[in-house]
Amino acid sequence: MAIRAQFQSSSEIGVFAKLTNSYCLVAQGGSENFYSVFESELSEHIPVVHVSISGTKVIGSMIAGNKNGVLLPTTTSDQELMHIRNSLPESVKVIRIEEKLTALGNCITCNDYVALIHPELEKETEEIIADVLGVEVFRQTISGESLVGTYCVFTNQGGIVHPKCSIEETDELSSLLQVPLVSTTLNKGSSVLGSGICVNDWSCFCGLDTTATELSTVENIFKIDEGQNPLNIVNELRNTIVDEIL
Amino acid sequence: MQKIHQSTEYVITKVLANKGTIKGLTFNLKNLTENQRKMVYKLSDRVIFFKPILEEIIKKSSLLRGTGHKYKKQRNLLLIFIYEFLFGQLKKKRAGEVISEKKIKYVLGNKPISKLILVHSSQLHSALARIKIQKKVFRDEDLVEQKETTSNKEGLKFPKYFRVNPFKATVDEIVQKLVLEKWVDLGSSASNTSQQNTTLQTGQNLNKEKNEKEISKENSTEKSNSNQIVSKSMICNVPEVNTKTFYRDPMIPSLLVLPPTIDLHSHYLVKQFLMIAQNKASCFPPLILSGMDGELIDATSAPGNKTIQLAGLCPNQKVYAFEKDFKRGKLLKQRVKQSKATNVEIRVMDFLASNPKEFPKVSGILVDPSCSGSGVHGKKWEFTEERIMRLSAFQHKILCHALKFPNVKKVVYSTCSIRKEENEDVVAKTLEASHVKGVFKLKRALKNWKRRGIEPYQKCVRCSHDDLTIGFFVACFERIQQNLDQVKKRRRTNKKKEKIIKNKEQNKN
Repeated sequence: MAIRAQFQSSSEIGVFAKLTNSYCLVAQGGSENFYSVFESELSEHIPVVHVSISGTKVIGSMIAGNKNGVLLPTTTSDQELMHIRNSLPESVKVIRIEEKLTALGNCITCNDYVALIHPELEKETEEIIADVLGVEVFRQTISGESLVGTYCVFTNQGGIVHPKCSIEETDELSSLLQVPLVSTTLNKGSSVLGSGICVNDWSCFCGLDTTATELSTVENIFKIDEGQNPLNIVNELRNTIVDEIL
Repeated sequence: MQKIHQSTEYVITKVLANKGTIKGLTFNLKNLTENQRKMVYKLSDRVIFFKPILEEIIKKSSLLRGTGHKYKKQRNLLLIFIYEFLFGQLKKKRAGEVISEKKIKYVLGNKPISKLILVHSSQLHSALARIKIQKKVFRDEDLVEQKETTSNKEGLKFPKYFRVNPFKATVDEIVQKLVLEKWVDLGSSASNTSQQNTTLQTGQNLNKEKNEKEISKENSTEKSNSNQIVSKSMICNVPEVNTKTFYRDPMIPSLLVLPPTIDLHSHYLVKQFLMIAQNKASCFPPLILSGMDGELIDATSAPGNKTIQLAGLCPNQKVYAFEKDFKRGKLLKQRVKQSKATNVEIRVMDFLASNPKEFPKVSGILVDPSCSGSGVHGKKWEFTEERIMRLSAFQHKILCHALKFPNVKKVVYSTCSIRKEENEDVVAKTLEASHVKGVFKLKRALKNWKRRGIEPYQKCVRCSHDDLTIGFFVACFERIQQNLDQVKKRRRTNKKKEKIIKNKEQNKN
């Protein structure tokens, strides 16, 4: 079941949190309510950590990462870097990269195998991304927009893309990423997907404004709580009945 | 690895400039061991196979832009390295696999060009992935256009022919040895002419084989019938791919027909020269020349397949084997020795430089001069017109020389080319030569063979891929016996006349 959340009366929760399969980073300061939403859902499984990047709260836009590693922008202070490194499991590599585009969260979107990046990132950055995150890297624009992290969000299960993305482009992207994709909006019609959602393979958080339709699309494509999907229940019932008859 | 990459670069550069074949060039790499040569062969073959894709990857990954432009001159080495990186030894077998630095260093070495590749590694991978998506393929092999793959499929059509070496074993002995290795002898079954042209599909093939088995059974029971069938169709069936089955050729008794994809070059029967890989078509010339008295000459012998066959067909006659090239002559000597063909005498010299008067006993000459090889499947490039004309002139010259031998009765001319310039044109030109005209004529060789030369040279034999052989041409020249015969005839008629006159006189008396 996807959960709706809000950061200090803002629905753009993706800006203030970063969720992956092996850790969750949440903005420092602000109301503790936001933090506890994540903690109650995730803390049994993965560490949920308070962090800040160069003193700001917009960590979701600044940080990129997956289960293998975290990429921090140049503006990150040493203290913040050490804090993140100490709070995360050892298997997660933490690297600060020298890159003039500092909003890495907006420029990079990835799952555990593939990453899409802003076409103008440096070559060196590209290699670091491939090494640290252990992914195949593709320079890509999404319906003409360079900020792939803002307009495309995907996990190992599936992904969502900008609503203006054509069917052909979606198909190409989905064969590039090897996951099913669907174009949708979040937060009652907002096309800025990266800031509307925090998602990993088994949990999903959406902005409070997200409508029921949007929520069900998201749950379907990210395969969240499959067991409770009415279709699955019907299927299971049918299977047991068929078994009994035979 | 560096040595191998350097040699491969050399081979590829030459092949791309049409200055040789991969096989020939790798064979001539003398400073390498056998294994290294094999690696070079495989690597250059694969790199050339993937070349269009590799070029596209270079273009897409902007490898040569900026600081990379200085590597433009080393393009072929770059191709090899990219191949190694994406398809070869450094290929990631599954997503996210990490390849150790040691291995990377071992394969790519420590040159600036390998650093260029490593710096661009993720771009190379992404370019490859994008090309794959664009072409909607999953496997690396499917990336290259269908042209190559169809030629592969074409290759599947042609069976592998092996000729039993009569100096070492009989056909039955070889068959027994193969049967011991769980091969299945499908007997001497000829395919019907209607089936020649049907493309081979596995389903059809099965049915065909069943039919053929039945036919072969009938054959064994009714000998007269079998003779008819054999004479009707001279082309053998192709054993099915990936099976251990073989046929015996209906036309040439010592020829075995094996499945198309079989690789026996390291098999002991082949290594010990018990059987020799030789295409069916190239078995024809010795067959035509055999069955005469006197000594024989093979004008251009190496590598010696036809010479050994000829020596085997006429074990009591001396066979002179000429070869111009020293290296090839050495190979010829070795092969003749290994195949135990004792009646072959090798002369490493130009046949054109031989004096016909020194060979008064020679009655038959085999002329198989170098040609464009356009009939051999596998050779892809075309020769220039000029080169063809030069070859044609040489072929004419050598054929004329063969016809100068004083007591020669039969000269068989053959090429593995399908070009008219090297075949019918050469024959026509030779027949017009002053010492040939009126002395030699064309003889209809292999009477039952259906495919003949281009009009009006229907006495010549042609083979094409439809006959499941290589493209081939054979012409047989025979001395016109007119002179001798006429003299004899005149004498006979004179004697008859005298007798009649005598009788009449006696009657009168």
